[in-house]
Amino acid sequence: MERKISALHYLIGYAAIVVLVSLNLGLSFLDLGATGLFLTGLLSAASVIVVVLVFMHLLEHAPTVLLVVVSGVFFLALLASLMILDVVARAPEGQPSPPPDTMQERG
Amino acid sequence: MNHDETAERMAPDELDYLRVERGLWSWLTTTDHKRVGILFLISTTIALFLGGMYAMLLRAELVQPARDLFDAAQYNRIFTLHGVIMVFLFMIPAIPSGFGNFLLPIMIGAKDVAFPRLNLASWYIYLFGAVWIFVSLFGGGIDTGWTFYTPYSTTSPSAVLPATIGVFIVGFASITTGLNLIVTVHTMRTKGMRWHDMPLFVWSIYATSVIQILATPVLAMAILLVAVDKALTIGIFDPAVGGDPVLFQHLFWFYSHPAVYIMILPAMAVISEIVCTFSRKNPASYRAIAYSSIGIAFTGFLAWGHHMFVAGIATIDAAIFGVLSMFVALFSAIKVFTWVATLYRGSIRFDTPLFYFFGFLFLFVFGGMTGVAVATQSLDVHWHDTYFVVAHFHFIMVGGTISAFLGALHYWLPKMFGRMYNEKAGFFGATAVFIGFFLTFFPQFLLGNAGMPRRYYSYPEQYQPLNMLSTGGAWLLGIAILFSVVNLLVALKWGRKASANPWNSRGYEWTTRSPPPKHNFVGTPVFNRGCYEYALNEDEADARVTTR
Amino acid sequence: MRASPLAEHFADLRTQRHALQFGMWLFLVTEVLMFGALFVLWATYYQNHAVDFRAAAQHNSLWRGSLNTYILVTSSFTAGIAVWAVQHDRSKLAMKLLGATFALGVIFLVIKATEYAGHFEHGIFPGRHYRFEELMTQGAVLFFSIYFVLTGLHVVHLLIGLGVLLWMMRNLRRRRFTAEYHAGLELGTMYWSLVDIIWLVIWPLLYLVR
Repeated sequence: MERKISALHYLIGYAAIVVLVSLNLGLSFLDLGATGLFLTGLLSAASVIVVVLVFMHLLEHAPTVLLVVVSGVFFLALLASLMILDVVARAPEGQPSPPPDTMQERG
Repeated sequence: MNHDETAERMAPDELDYLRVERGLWSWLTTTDHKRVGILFLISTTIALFLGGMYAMLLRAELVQPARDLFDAAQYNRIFTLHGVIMVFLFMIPAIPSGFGNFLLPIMIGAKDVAFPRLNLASWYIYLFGAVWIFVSLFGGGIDTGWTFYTPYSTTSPSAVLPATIGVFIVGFASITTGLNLIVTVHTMRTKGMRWHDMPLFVWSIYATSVIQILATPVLAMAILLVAVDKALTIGIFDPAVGGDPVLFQHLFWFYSHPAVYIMILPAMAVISEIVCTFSRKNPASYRAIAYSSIGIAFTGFLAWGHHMFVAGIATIDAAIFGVLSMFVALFSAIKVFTWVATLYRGSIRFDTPLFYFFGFLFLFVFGGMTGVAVATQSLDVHWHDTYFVVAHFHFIMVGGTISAFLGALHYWLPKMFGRMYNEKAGFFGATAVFIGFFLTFFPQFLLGNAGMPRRYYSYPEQYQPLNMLSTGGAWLLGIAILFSVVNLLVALKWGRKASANPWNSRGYEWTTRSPPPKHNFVGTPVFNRGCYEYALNEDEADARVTTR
Repeated sequence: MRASPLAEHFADLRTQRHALQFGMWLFLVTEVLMFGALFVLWATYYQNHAVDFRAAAQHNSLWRGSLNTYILVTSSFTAGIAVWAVQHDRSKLAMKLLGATFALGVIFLVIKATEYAGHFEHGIFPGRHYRFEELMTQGAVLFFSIYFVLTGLHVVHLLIGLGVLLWMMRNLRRRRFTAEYHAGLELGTMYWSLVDIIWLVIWPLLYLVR
């Protein structure tokens, strides 16, 4: 039968998440600009990871499942990067870039 | 020892899956993956003809430059419905949910898929989604193009809401099939079968399923946002409230580009099987084909922005997408070369499925190369939204996928129904499909390059001769597909009874009876030889397949 | 002797359990990607509307949102411990824990409802219906459109989760979950934790970035 997990395991996980959530809440009262945003992201990601590993038992499930989860996150990150790059790298004020310069007369 | 004896040994005296239970109710409540596969094949083929009907209508309008049969508004609805029905109700589900469901468990020696009831549910989800699309159809249809671009889709007076709901729902049928097949491959391979013992068909369907899982949810969100905007004017992409319509395109194409690999990978799955059987040879490189499937699935996700080169995205973004788009072609090319190398020095058997492969080979390569062409940003500026692009994707979707689909129907008809089709008629149909296809779509490359825009119901006079040729070709293509399908239907009733393995294939699905019994094999099949191992003689090959 | 929960097409119970877990993870990944698309949309719009987004977030009730976060995290814990309880043959405790999870979920909904009521009172509605005079920027309208879609979808998933909890409690009462085999319980609590992790991303995006 599968290895039984101890109740302590869950309690530690819960405590960790409560700490992370509280830290995140506290952080929101400080005005740290971009660093603050980055830290918020980090703390949120950490709490999600703990829930996934402990309460959703990813630690116990097959390694293949890890590949599934990592793939999902990877492709989401890909979507985010290229979408954000688009918006950030456009001409000023988020306007669309002018069309490429090919306005030659068509034959 | 002949094949029928092997089949009897693998699945002794049992009623086959068609006869074990009879009546409509037994079909509507089945959990047998083979029956679910057939249900999907029937529904998707009906969708094929419905989508095809819309194609014939729009080609009819394009015979003459001026408006003759339809005005602009009606024409927009016709090409939109053609696209929506073809893409979502045929191209995406037909091979994976049809042939994938039927064959994959048998090919890995399993009794069924991992979740048989979920499998049946996926068919009902598909039907429910199709119903919503029909509601839209009867409500006057939609005129947004199958791509639903905002802000037109959220402001169009046409029946966008039921259509988007339908597409959303059908997406879940796709996800559930993918989920089921992935779990099946991971957990239900028969004793002794490692990943590298699996038929190549399974690798490609597996890769397809991975794309279905990872890409479809993003479409679900994109289309949900359009539906929600239509229903409640929430306007996330509405410029009037600061929304950016291009962001819809990002989300839409993040799915829809990988989606085209959902459409071609299963076709490639079929082709791998046909090539090996009809050349009686091992694939020139098993790993090349297997890993290329994964390669296509992965690189397919990197390319979506190439649909948006002229949509106003940042130049650096477009440049990145242009480069990334090239990688998919590498893996497709590896497959093509490997298939051709497999044929070399094979013992070629010229039957209908192989003729569909020949058609596939020529048309897919054409389509693929023009794909690389339009992925080149500087060229796409000229070709975007012209008939050049239309020709490119039809070469792949029809020339590629539909050729493979028809080839699969002919190849596996004897396995599924125990009947053989008329070979002369099959050959005739395959040839007519190829000629009809080429006449329809090759002129469209020329038209597009000459500047004819897509989705227009009228055009300048100088484009007429090529348009007439294209419409003529479309008629031939339509009749040829109809003829081929009728030939198969005739075979169901009156065809010669097929033996267990009429093609003399070494594939695992051919070791059981035709049609197979409900649980495919009796006990656990053990395959002590490869599924492409033609080097062994017949008796040895048969003897190595046992059951326990 | 009860009938075995083993389905006829699986080789054994272990394979069945493994298949169910794997299938559930695949499903959860699709949910993550679906909500993820919305998160990405928030992040993309944030690039050009950072000031407006932060201003708008200040009009969300931080204490309600944060309380809800603690509530969901706790409910995720009680759901996880319920599995432990069944593994150790303590069905009565498991039942209480599932009940507590359910109750926490309901409290979440009540708090959310008061939040929505507060928004509507101020004229904060999604998209074109927005009429909050104090904050009439495009960024604010976009922010709240995303807010309503995200939290609305989350509520739908939470309601489904409540249904799943009821189903699990019913099965527990009928002794369908044993210490040896309780795949349904594992899967159901995984779904509940999904509802939790989605909120764990919604909360910072819509409440903390202010």
